[in-house]
Amino acid sequence: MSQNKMIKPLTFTLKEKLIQRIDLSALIPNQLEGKPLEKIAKIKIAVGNKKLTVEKLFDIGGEDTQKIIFKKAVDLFDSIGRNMNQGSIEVRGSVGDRAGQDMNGGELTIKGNAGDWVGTGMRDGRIEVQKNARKFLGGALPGQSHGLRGGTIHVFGDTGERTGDKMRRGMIVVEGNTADYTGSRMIAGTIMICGQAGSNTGFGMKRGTIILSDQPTSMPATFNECGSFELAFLKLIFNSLANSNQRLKNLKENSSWVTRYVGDLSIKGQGELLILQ
Amino acid sequence: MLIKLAGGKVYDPMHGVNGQIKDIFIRNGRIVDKPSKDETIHKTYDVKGRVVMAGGIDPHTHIGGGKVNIARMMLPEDHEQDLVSRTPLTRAGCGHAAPSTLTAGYRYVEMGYTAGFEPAMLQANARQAHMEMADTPIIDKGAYVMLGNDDMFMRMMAQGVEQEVMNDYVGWTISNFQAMAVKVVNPGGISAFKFNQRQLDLDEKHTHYQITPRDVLKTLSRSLVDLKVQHPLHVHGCNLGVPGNVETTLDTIRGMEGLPMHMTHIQFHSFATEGDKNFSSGAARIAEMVNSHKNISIDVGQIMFNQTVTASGDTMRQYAGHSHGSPNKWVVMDIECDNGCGVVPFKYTDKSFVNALQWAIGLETFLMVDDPWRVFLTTDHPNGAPFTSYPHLIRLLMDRSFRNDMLHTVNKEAADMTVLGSIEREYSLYEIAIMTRAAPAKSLGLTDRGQLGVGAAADIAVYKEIDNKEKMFEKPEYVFKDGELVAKNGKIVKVTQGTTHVIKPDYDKSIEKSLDEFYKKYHTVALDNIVVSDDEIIDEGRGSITQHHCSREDTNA
Ligand SMILES: [Zn+2]
Repeated sequence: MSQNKMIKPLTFTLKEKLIQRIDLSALIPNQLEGKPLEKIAKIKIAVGNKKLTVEKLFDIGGEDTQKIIFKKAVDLFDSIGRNMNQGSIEVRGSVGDRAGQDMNGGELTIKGNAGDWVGTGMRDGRIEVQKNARKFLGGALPGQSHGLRGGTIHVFGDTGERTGDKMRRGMIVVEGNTADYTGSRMIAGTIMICGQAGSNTGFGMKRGTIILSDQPTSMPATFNECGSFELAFLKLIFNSLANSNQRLKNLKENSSWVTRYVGDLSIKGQGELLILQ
Repeated sequence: MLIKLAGGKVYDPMHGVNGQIKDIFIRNGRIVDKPSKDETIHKTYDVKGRVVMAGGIDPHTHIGGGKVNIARMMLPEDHEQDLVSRTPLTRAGCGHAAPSTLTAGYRYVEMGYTAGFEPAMLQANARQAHMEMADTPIIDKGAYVMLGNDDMFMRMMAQGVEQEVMNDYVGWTISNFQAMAVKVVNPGGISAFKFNQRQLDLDEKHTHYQITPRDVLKTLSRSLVDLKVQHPLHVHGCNLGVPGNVETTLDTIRGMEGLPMHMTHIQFHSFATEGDKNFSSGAARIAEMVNSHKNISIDVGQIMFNQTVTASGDTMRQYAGHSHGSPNKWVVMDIECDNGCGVVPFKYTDKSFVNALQWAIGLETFLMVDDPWRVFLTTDHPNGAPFTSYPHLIRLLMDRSFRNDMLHTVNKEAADMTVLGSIEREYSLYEIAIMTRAAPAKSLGLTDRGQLGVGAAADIAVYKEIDNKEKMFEKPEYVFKDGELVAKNGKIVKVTQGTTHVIKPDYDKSIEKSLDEFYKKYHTVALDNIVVSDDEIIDEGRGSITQHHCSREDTNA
């Protein structure tokens, strides 16, 4: 009988206005799986320098721990979806820093804005930011060797500086603009910017590909122009993105002719900036 | 305040007490005689059936100084994955392999240890090392100052100065950097690395100064004997980690010709070259040599299968090993043109042939050296493993069937090449008390620590006796530091400040004249500014200095 019954997503609605930052890394599908609601309600969450129970902070509804929804989310919600590896989290509102850090699977959807370090250390899964994200999206934390290590991050709006800093695998798609130092210290992987990229794009890039629809504000002097090419693999990337995502369906019409720049020759110099013609 | 620990099973090897039931009385931080009947006992702890030992003493643990800080800065992931919240009593901290100062102090005490000695304090980093140790709560500490690669020493050697002059320099260094002993790391090798040598064997000449590691070792050891320093020269030998280095290590021991020497993390220096992979255990030969040379003591530097970070002054060998680092980042640097340091994170795995054999070599060494007074329990924290793995290591030594179970889980080829499975020896509690308490105290000349005799400092750990020795040594029931209860059931209940142990050997102060010139000419810091004064450690009463006498008596040297 219960098999047929629709199980409602587990919903956390913020009760009162937050003053301090809050660490939500405990509320992920793989942590909550199989836990009864009474137990979930008693989980302690760090709020500023205190710890409060989930039920103190949120009204709890639904029961499907593999589909989590946060309502009335604000930009003080840190580490949302950190270490998640299955299921889905949907955030109605904005989030703070490190959304989807070290994520290893599942889907994280943020309907509003996101803070710094979205998807840092992420290995697999998908993050969607429906408005803007701040600095170091898919970028490395201080001292860390890698930013994004796998999976996909898709931003509908703009991102801040250092998008994809030290990323080493995976894909970042930004529909809007990025600020300076996009793809800095990139080790490998792919970034696609549909809007305008800022200055020093590709700074310190070892390998990897940055696809740009327009000439960036600037790129380091240590990039060399290698002429115009028609690159067949771009067609494949565009089609696969267009097929998997309704919002990107126009990519199918993109030409796969690009001007190719190779760098950063001050490092390994096997990275490329592909500027669509 | 008079405290009684009633009816415990006492292990106090310094006085030959082996599990006898005894009451222990504490007054004003010291262990005292049984008081007369009419005296009031203010507090009695019923420790019937409990094992009572002196607080543990770690004679080789990297808890302060530049390289530990570099390790901390380089490994934010080590900190993020191991966060410790503050409590009303203890402060927040973090770090598994390179814990913060506060966390290191708490963890030692929670494990029943009450003293730890930083074995690689560079002159230029001495102030930093002492400040970090000052921030390490509760436990007593001390440091071994590094000599034998600094330009002053190398010049003096090359000039062939009299032993007496060298003694003055060594004495000056120990006294002015607030040290407890002297350590030499890759004798002459750190200096040679800067002259583009990538290897320096025991009898190989430094291309610039034309001296050999053997010269360095003998001169320094002689100095310490002449200065009557209790702890022998603390030696991190040549060729660390090089297959076949067992020969170098054996030669080093022979070459001392009876002079006292402590060989540290000897596991990393006990590699032979037999077998298909030209890598095998030299532990049996090392143990035999140590057994027959009473002037030698060792600590093992046991490795454990875990993520850790190696931090060493040995730039030459750290540079050679950096490609094995995991995660892939490393630092090898010069420090003030005087010494060096190398920090390489490392992940030892039981699937790796080399790592598994290293693990076995360490354990073989422990089990084949007969005299527990001359082999100390260390992991060379954090180089082989963090110190928090000591309880596990103790179980490996005390429990043969557990050891053999573990042996079955490691790399098969390595397991086939070790004699570990056939060694029947199991350490007794008495022997553990020797190697973790009494022996380090004796070796360092800590006359009132590492023991439970009348007059000794009341640094005491009380354990529930259980079969699983790892569990037993993980969380002592009570830990007392200078007579105060500081931890209960593995939780800190009071935070105190331990003392800094130092020695101040006699030397001729006229050496400062030539040192002053040297510092003026070559150093970035003036002589008067580089030395660490007593006041800096006492810090208006926050810290304290405990000075030990230099009164070593050697009959055979
Ligand atoms: Zn060491």
